Amino acid sequence: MLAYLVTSPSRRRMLELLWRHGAAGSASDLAKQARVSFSSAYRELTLMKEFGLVAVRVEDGREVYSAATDHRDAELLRRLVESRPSSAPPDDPACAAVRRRVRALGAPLAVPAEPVPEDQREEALVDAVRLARRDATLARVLPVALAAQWKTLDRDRLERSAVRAKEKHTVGFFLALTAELLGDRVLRGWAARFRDHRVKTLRPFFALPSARMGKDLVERRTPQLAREWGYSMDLSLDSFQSAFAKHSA
Amino acid sequence: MSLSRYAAAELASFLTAIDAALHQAATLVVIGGSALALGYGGTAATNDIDTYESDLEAIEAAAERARAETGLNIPIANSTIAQLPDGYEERLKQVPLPTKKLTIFVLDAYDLAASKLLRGNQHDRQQLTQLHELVSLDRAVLVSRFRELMTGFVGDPTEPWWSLRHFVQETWGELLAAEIDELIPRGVHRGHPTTQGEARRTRKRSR
Repeated sequence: MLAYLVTSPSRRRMLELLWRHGAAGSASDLAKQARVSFSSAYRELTLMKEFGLVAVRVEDGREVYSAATDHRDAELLRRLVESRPSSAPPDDPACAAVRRRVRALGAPLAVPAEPVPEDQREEALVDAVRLARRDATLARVLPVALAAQWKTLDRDRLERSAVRAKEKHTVGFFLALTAELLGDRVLRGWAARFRDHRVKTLRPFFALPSARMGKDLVERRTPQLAREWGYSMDLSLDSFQSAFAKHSA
Repeated sequence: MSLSRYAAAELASFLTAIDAALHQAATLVVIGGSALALGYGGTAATNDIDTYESDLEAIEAAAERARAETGLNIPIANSTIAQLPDGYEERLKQVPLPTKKLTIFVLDAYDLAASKLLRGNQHDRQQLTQLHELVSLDRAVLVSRFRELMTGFVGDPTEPWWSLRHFVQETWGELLAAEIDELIPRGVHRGHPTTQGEARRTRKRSR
């Protein structure tokens, strides 16, 4: 939450130091503890002072800063600094049902399979694609299910389901990924039909709080194919390949 | 029933069936996603059971029978690439299943977490987040175990260190993640500097 609202790392560190860890000290002490430069720390403390967010007292001729715990929004700020939105995969009953259904279609997930009627397989796969944006384990093994099913799917029904779920481009990406893992040109042709050509810039594939952190890892690991589809992700092609090789036999 | 219990229950019933078909005592050391499911109630990544230095020949025939009996076609294989912290054997946790001949151990939560960070893809970190929500990992112990593991690590250490940093940032915040920067050994690329101060220091170092 804090990382989203406060984009400056120096400001986040100073807020965490004062409001989460209860630190107190001179600008120089706090700069050292927050591992930021003195000028950054001083600037932040000056701004916080203007907003009444730090209390300042003079000790031995130097200014000592601490969190202004009597500020009327102190509790709100403390809770905000302490909040940690979870990046764990969602585990509500609806998501559990999606996993059970996609397992029945061949995804190697450790959940019981729930049979899917023949004419609902396309919808179940689209639901899985949608959940895969919040569940990296599912994303990793989804091509195994697509590889097992695609030849008997109704492509028009798959497209309609994808459009209804507003996931047409993402379904296309997974089809293209599966085509690459299988080395299948026909499936690559299918994928092209789902592509949204308006997508020109890279955006995080995973809709998780952590997906915007670790840009360096994302930069290293995003598969070339994902880039071509406008997605960045901290999940390498090796990772998809190893899961596919292990389970697609 | 929650998803996690389903996942663990299925693996457990397969292992119990192996136990029933065994003629002699055998021991399994389970690592990876199945250790998370069996030992800590997490959602396992896949249907296979990754083990480490376990005597799989002793259970091969029993596993075949268990597959036929339960309909659960779960492969069991020793990992050849896993790297674990020294002394992990002394910290193994026994899975409390009602087995007679088969003894099943999973990695201690910190060994499991440290080994997950070595690869540290998004799905590994998501599983780690889940482990943290289940057992409430202590940051200092995790960092110390990770450092032990890295002393004997074979391969490019850059990504494991970045994975640790990002996991600490996600879980405990920016300030404590900044401490990790100082632990990253010299010679390991530190990634993109996150503050102007760090950028200046990086430029100075490279001059």
